[in-house]
Amino acid sequence: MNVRSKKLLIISVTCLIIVGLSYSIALGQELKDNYTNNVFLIELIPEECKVLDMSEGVSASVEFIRDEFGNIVDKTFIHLLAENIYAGASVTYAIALRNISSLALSVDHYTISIDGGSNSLEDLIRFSGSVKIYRSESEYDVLGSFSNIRIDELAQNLTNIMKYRKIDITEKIVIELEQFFENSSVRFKQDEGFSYKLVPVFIQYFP
Amino acid sequence: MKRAKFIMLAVIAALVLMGAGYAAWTQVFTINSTVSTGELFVQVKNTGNTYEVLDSDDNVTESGVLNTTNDYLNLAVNTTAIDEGTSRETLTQITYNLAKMYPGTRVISEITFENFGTLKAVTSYNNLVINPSSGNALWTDLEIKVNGSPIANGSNSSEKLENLALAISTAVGNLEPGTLKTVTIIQELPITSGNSTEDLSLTWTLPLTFSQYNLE
Repeated sequence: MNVRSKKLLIISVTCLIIVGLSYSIALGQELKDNYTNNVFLIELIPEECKVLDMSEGVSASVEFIRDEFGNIVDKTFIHLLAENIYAGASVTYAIALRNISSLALSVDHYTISIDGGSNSLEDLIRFSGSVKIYRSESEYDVLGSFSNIRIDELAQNLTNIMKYRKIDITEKIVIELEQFFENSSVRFKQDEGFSYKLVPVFIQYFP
Repeated sequence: MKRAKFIMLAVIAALVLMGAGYAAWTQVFTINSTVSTGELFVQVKNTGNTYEVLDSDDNVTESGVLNTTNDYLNLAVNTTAIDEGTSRETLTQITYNLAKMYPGTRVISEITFENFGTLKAVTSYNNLVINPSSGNALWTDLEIKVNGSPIANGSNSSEKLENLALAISTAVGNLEPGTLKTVTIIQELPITSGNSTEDLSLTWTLPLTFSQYNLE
């Protein structure tokens, strides 16, 4: 390696170090500001999270973690409830989120975990839905939709729709999620249940 | 060599710092969903069987609770129940053994259907059984009413039984959770019935099926 090449390498590495340091310093500063102003990057809009539709006889609701006075204490957690489900029944939820940080965000990935016990309900549940991003209260783009997918495909479908898509400051994401059950009364068991946890991971948007 | 090591360390340090910066900017969000199924349970009970004896003017001359061991009027209602002795006891089918009837006798049965489940249920039937399957004058002459409405004889034994089953399932109809319906079945051999019905007996069986309303 000649002297010129070595110099070039040293300069490149130095630049890389400077970029890395400035990036992390900037992020650290933003993090500090962000924690001063608002703790989370994105949070639920409780008044817009609701049950859009449900089959006759089904009892469905959305719930939040609240304190003793009824105030929502965690706007990063939503519980979708569906009781009295039967073969052929369905429930559609709207989950609305807003970017409350001072950065553009995107979704890195979704994960899903299922607590099904020993029943076969998770094999009978199917999902359809769409993801919209609201640029303003009336303007929105449909980022994507999915139809009749199994629970083990849900996280990947949502990831595919939302990954790399920029969620600007104050923009709103609305996920419409219909969960329905196969019309197979033979495979349906009474008095059973299961739960699943769907976790989107939001990150700072990188162009 | 020292310079190369320095460069290597610098690169590693830069990459570590970038990674730390990236990791600081993730936020997880939890959507938790709980799903539980409902229950379909319709309790069917035979709450009473009485008999009446009529004269030629259709006046009741004798009546009482049906005693299936009574030779005088041997009308029996046999039912098949599951979970006997528990709160989940219910009939799954109703079988009537009609024997030793004579003109002017009738048996009145009350069957209740109560939906203890969480779903709206609909009533249906299958595998109807009548014995003998054809040519029984007793079955032909028997006048049957479900909640006061007479059952048409039809062209054969099976058709009459089908009409009866349909009338019962229609009378029960859709059962909303928590509702109770009572169906009264009256079987009467009219006073006008002739000798052709003498010394005859028959059995009919109605198996009941309850389904969730959207699978009608």
